[in-house]
Amino acid sequence: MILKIILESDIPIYRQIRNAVIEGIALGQLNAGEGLPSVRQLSSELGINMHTVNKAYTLLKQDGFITIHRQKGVVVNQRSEMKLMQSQYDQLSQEMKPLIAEAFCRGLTLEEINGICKKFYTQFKEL
Amino acid sequence: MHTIFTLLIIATCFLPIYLLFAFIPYLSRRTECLGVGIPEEQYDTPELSILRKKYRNSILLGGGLFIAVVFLTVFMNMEQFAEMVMVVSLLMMIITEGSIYLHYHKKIKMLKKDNGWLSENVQILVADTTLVSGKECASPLWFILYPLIIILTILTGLLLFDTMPDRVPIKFDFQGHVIRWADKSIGVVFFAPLTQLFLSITFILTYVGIRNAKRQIDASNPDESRKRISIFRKAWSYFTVFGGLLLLLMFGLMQLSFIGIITNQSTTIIFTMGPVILLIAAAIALSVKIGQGGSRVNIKRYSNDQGMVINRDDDQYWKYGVFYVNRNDPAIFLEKRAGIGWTINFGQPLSWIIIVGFVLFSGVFVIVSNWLTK
Repeated sequence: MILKIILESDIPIYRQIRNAVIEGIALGQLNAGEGLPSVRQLSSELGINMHTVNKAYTLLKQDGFITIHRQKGVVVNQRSEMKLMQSQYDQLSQEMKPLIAEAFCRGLTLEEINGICKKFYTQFKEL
Repeated sequence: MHTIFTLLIIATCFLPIYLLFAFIPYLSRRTECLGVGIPEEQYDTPELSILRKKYRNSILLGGGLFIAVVFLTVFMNMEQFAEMVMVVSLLMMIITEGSIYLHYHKKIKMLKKDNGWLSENVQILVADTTLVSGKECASPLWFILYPLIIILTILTGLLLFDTMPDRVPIKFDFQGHVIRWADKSIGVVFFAPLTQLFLSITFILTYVGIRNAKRQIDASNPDESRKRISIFRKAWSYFTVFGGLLLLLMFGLMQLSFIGIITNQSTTIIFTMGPVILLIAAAIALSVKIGQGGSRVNIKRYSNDQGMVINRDDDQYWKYGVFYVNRNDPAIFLEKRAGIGWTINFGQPLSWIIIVGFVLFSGVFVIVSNWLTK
């Protein structure tokens, strides 16, 4: 997968890396068991501080998307290991709340919001 | 014969530097011009094309002057001065061409600022998450041949020690005269193998550098860029493996001349200069055919499908477009911006350890090889 980071974005770089990896998994560009570059490698190819990549990987590990082995390095988890726990469900819906609120204020109907969700969701499911 | 020898020196010392300097902007990536990062779509604009042409002509003229001086000394039969003239001319040529480069480097930097190339594009960072397999590079197993050749060279020297003449020519001047002889001794047998060892380590280090160098993927065309980089790495890794092999074999032949099996001096000159010239020719051919980062490889150029995106502007880390100093970048080896090949990140302590280590290692090599051929 080609990872793209927008430098002047409001979203911090570690967050962009995290999101890109999750999206890559959802789209099937990153498969279960696939290796990811080490912290040093990825930060050197992006030309950024190692702490930034480390932070992204730590988040991904905490959320169950990747495992960091001593020997095998960084590996993408099985889908089953990403299964939602109650606390994560709450967090996820909390994070969706402001987005839905913004859409509501801007006059989007429930159907339109559902339409957006469906568009992305089917993209993810297809692969 | 002597004139031919001088011409060979010109061919090996002056021409590569002269030509490389002149054609830097034509060999570089399309996202760079004389050490300045540019948006790819600006590469072919008349503004930059004219600047490149002007730069090239200034270099050809400025450097040509010094080459002409050297030719004159050779053809006016003032060969006794040749050595001095060559060293001074070479130095002056490099200084002149460096100044011309800097002048145009600054000009392009100004152009970039005046035209607002940065503000009209979104800067993005790109990386490939597939693991570096290094599969595209030549196999490191080739390096097994290196110690084999060294051992063979030592054995030949030891077994045929009796046939070695009483004194052996070690150093030649620019006209091919012997200026230093070594007395017959067992140490002389180890002179060629030691040089081979030095070369082996140098070439293996280069290979490691190429293999581990940062893959710099262009933001505007990631997929195309990935292909180009892979061809670029492949070509130069093979060049390194076989270039080293060729030089090792050359010193194997030198051993044969030490022990008196090859006695003809012109043969000696041919087999010492031959591989060097071959290597330089191959390096020039690769540079022209492949270009920096594979920029000249003949594959389909995709149009910029990513919208107005450019690579991150890292001009601030490139001092004069030549030295990369970035503490925050853990990369040690990366592509040069001006020229062909790789350079190191001077902002990392490990880079300095490598440089100092290599200088010390070279010093030890010179001292030991002098001691062997007293």
